[in-house]
Amino acid sequence: MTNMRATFCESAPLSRRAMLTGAGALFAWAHAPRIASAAGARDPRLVVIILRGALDGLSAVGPVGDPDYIGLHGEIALSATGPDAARPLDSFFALNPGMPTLHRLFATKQATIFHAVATPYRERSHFDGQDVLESGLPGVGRTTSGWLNRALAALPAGQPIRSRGGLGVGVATPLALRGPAPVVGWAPQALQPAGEDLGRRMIDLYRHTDPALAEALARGLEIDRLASREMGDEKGSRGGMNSVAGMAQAARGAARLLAAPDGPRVAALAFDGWDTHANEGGPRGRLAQLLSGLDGAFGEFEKGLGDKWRDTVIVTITEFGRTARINGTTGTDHGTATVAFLAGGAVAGGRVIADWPGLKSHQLHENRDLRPTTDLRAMLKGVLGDHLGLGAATLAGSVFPESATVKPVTGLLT
Amino acid sequence: MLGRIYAQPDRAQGLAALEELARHPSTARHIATKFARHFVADEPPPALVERLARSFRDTGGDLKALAETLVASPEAWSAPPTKLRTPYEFLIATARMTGRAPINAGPILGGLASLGQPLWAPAGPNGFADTAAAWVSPEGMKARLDLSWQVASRIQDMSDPAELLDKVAGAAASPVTRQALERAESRQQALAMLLMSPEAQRR
Repeated sequence: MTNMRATFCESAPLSRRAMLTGAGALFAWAHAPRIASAAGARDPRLVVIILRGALDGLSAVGPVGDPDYIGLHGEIALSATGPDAARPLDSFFALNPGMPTLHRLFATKQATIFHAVATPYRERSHFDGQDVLESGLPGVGRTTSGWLNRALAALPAGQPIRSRGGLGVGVATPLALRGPAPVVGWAPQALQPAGEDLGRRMIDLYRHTDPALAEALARGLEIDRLASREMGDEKGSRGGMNSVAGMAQAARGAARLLAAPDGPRVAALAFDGWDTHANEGGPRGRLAQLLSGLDGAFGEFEKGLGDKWRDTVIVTITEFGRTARINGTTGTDHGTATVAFLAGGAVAGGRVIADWPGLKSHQLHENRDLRPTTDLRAMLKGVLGDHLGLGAATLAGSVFPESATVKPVTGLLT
Repeated sequence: MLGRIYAQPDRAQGLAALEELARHPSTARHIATKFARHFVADEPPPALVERLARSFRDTGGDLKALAETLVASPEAWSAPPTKLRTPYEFLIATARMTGRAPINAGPILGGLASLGQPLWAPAGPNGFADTAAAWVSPEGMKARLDLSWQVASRIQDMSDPAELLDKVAGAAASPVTRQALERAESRQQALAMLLMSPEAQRR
């Protein structure tokens, strides 16, 4: 399914579907390479943030104007009104209140949100979904290189963005940035403590198999939380790179490296913990806290990149979305379409780009998930094409193999 | 022993005392208990301890015979895996499971220290504890969790952790563990869970 009809959701919701067909004409798909834009005045910075575990797009960016939304997403649905009101984006979508920075960037036209996007992967395995998301391959298959690295490798030799290499943030470089082009790794802390989600999962496993280990680990984590609360942040981000403080710390460091005149221009990092099967929370709770961590990372990038921010695009993507209906544990299970964020001074922002599929039973993918109407690769190609100057043939060749039918979304950048 | 007078001169006196000490039934029971506690359970089955003690006595303290008696004992095989791998055993097992032998000893030494078993440096002359009860501690389990994550998050091209569970635990792999690994949100997380699973922690 390729999306030829992406549109800007700035109009009233009633006319949304009606305008979609015509809106396709607004897009003149770029067939000509635009090398000039990268080689010219702009010295681009590109950051790719991967959210591992599958972000619930319907709780991050709520279609509050869709009459079927609340019925499906129940108590974790975002609401345009009330004490925990979501932040309005347009007349149809609203942003999780945990993301004030992204909302400000959106309001100042420095952020664009894609909704109902998905990779070509249609099963529900995190492992395979992450492989497809990061490898850029059209389907499941293990590989040793990712689309971002191959994009770098495809640039003409001698371009600073290529010669300075990629920056892999964290103890392991995400697959998206691994491959033939040189990559340097940097981790905010050499020894990352395990995140809360891993601890939670182990305690759950022990409760079923080994109660003594469950009790010991639960007490160990509890005292650690207590120490963290009482001693503050003395030991750095105790929750690792996936805690709110850890995300900010990683972004702060990466921003400094990217801002350095002789530093790398392209970075990739991954935040884990988005697999919210239980107690997901809506405007408050676990997901909102994770989103606030991501939001804080956006803020750190903006601050740390300084005057390079205007040449920056931060791409935030996840392997797939989550079920439209909440489950019996007030969470959501593995789904299909979700959201993607573009933030940065180089983004022609202030828009939610979505060919909204609707949330009625027959409109859902397999009667359970938000149906994908935009191929995530169309967005990524649009960014890589306009920001790095890669041509359509390269993008459909080595970067995203066998994707000639997936046309880049143009006009995403200033 | 106590109250006995050893009349031998010089060195022979000490040797005579040690020899009698070695042949004392309490020594056999002590060695048998330590042996069974290390390999089988913190509170080993009395029948097993008795059989090992007899072996020790009957062979004049032959440790090979003692080991063979243990291996031939049904209790050694039927006892549930209640022992917790010591930090040393855990780190060695982790290196083997991930197929990544350390290039230098630094990480292993650092891991041993952070898990509470610094190499050859126990807090007292009686050495490190050999009971699961001593190692199943809140701070110890938290440290193992962090270390498992640090190991797993560094590995880029790993095989399927659920397949690795089969290799590691075979028929002893619990379906609950398998399901938990398959539901992990990333391969790295699944590998960390495998390293922390009862199958990998207990023995």
